[in-house]
Amino acid sequence: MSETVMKVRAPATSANLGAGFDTLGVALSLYNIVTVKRLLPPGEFVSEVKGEGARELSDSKSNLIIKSYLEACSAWQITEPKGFEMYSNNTIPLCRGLGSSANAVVCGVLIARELNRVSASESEMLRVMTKIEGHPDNVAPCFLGGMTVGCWDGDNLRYVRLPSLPSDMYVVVAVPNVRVNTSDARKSLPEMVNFSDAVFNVGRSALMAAAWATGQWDMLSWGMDDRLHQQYRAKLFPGGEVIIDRVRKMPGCLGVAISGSGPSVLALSRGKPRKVAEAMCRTFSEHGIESLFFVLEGCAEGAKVDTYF
Amino acid sequence: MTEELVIKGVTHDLDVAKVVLMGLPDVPGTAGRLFTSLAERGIGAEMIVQNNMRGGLNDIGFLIRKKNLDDAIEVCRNFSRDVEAQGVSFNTEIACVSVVGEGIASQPDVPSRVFVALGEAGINIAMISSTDLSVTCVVSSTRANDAVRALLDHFISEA
Repeated sequence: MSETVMKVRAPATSANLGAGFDTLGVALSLYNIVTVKRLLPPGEFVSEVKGEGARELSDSKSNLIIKSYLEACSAWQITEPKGFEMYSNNTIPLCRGLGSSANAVVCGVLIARELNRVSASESEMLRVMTKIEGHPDNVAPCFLGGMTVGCWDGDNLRYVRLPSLPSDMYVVVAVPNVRVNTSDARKSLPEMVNFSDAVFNVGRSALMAAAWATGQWDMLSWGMDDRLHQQYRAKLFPGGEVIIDRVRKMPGCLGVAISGSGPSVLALSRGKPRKVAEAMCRTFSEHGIESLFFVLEGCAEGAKVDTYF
Repeated sequence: MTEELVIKGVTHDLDVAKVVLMGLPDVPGTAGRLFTSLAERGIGAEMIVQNNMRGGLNDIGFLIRKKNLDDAIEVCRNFSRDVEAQGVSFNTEIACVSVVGEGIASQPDVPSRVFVALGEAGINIAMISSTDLSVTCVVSSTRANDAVRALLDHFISEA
């Protein structure tokens, strides 16, 4: 007899999509599954992790799911949050720009809502998630699915969820075997940007959101262009400075960008994705880095919760 | 020691791609349906490995010929969606490196010597299989030549 209390199946996400720095994000068909096995007295937590991050995430004191759970409980003024034993089957690589930390935040907040029977609206849930994560571009699509546009001022969030990608669109994600720490990636960015570069990105990100909303996919190559962050982040991993230009010119490639803060690189493709994927991984190999690739699709649903109590 | 007489050669094969379906439901028939779907498209699979995970989920990894990659991507994506697997990954930057000979299975130290030789060359092993005729390791394609050289040095040059 299973002791399972609840399960959360939450998707990977790719933030920015080029121009939409800290604003745009899309949910992808690669999932972590968190299982709460049994309830424990308040303050007691046991965690076990299989798959990606098994070595570093199993300590319950540093587990981001449990930290997020406790932060959400604190935000909702739950004085004695239930403890629990959990395990997580992880497929989303850590520190590769595929939203693994946002995934943990979303799972933790959802567990807090369910175990403590909190009645929170979608926008309140997302506000708490964004407060913990610091920006909405990963947590919003992870929680809601589809593609999201989110704006955050530190306390207040405004967001719009757009539909997921059409089923004939391939999301090719090349994942090099090297990590980029998100805070290091942020430190690489300049404090000031050129006015014309800012205008460039305003136009591109607006075009991206409008094109996505109306299904004008031929606009993506412009919409995913960027002058604010990718040129700096591309220097943080081998091959980063050549891969985007190389892949962008390939037939069938609609757009390409560094996924989140990298080092993964995401390309949207119509038609067979093999050549795009092989070109991305070959580029990493040429720079001495092993890699693998996913051929994903848009995830329309977002995080899914099943409860058994 | 007689293994120097047993080992006939070292080969490598760059025409392979690795596929891993992650988080498949641990229910009877899942592997049968997956490999039937692949076979119906003419896709043969080699070096099939299943890892048992916690929580009623399994990973299944295998190798295919690169010419079948387009079809394999389509089949595995559809299968992954249908059974609500956690995802599927592909790796084309790999190579199979094999030590080949007769009666390898009767020489208990051959696999360990293969692994030690690769390890001393700083080469990571992604997958392993063995038969009576060969011990095969999947390594990064960028290290394939180094792997062959290390194994030749170890098994052939010393013969």
